[in-house]
Parts: sequence; structure tokens; C-alpha cells
Amino acid sequence: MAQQPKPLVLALEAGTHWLCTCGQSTNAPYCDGSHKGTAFQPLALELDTPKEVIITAP
Amino acid sequence: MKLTIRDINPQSSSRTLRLAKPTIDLDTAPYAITLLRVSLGLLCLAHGCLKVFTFTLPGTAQFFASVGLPGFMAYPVAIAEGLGGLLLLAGIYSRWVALALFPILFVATFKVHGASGWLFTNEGGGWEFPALFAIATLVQFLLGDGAFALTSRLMPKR
Ligand code: FES
Repeated sequence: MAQQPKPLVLALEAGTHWLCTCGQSTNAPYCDGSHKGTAFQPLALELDTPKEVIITAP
Repeated sequence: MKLTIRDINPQSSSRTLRLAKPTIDLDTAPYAITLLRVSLGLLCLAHGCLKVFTFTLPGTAQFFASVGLPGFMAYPVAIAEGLGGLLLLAGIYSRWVALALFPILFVATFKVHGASGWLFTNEGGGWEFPALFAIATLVQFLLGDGAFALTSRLMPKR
């Protein structure tokens, strides 16, 4: 049985955050440009107020 | 990948923001507060002036003594009313000025007008008016400055 990764809890400021979707980033969960050459594009998350963001995989 | 976005610590935001339906009309409320502030300010100023110019301070002190209050209190009370009235009119720290005026009116309700009965038109003036006046100062304390107040001009924005 595959191990269930722990949900990642982030406290994010208002603004745009680029989240990695390709899995190549060395600065997970944020995009660092490593997706170049893959079919993936980062996900832009726009917040007008500070929020708590929980990332669960898959 | 699944993103869950939550408010941070909803308890820390103000009550109006937490309510599903606001209980205050924020477009008109500041003017209502100003109306109350200016009315209270004029009334206090008038009473302060009355004590100083019409009854004169020694006369007020005598009156204070006649209703069982220490006579020397006439001076700080007259000053507090006059100054408090001006500060309320200008809207300078209205909240705290109103709170400071409350004890004066509270004492006036019980010590000065308590014996005259409830009805405002009784001889000597019943306590219903000073009681309403006292409650109005507490309401002003809870409301704050309202529109056209000087506090926000004097204090640099945070
Ligand atoms: S590095 Fe993964 S999407 Fe940019």
C-alpha cells in the first residue's frame, strides 16, 4: 500500500503564489522553474487576504 | 493535488466581518454616531456654561452642597462638562471623553434628581432625563468617533 503523504499546512500572505505541479521543484511546494521541458505549468494561487492553505496529495 | 484554503484564525477578525449578515448599516452608521456626538457635546457644553456663567461657580457649589454633594466638586464638574463638550463636538477621543462624562451623569441621576421621582416634568426634574443622558454617554463610548471627527486627523494612520 502506498504511503499517504502528510498534508502540508502553509500560512500564506495575500498575493500570488506559484505552486509546483510537475514535481521537479527543489523548493516544493513552490515552483522554481524546473518544469521547463515537462508538460506541466505551475499553478497560480491568488489570495486577497492572508489564508491558511492545506495541500493534500494526490 | 488538493488545495484547502481556510481563513486564518477567524476569531481574531471583528464581529461584523464574522457575521453572515451585518447588523449595522456601515454607510449611514458613522453619521448617526456624529449626530449623537454633536448633541451630547452641545448639551454638555451648555451645562458647563450654565454652571459657570448663569449659576456662577460658587452658586453651583452651594447647589451641590444642598443636594448632599461636596461643594468643591462644582469646579472640576463644570470644567469637565465644558471641556468634555468641546472635545465631543470636535470629535477628539470621543470614546474616552464620553466615558469620563458618564460618572457625572450617573451621580446626577441618583443624587440630584433621584428624589424628584421618575417623570421628567416633575418639580426639580425627574431622573428619567439624566438617566437617558448617562446611557447616551455609554452608547457614545461603545460607538467611538463617527464621521467628521478630528481624532483621525491628529493621529497618524497606523
Ligand atoms: S517547478 Fe514544478 S511547476 Fe515549476
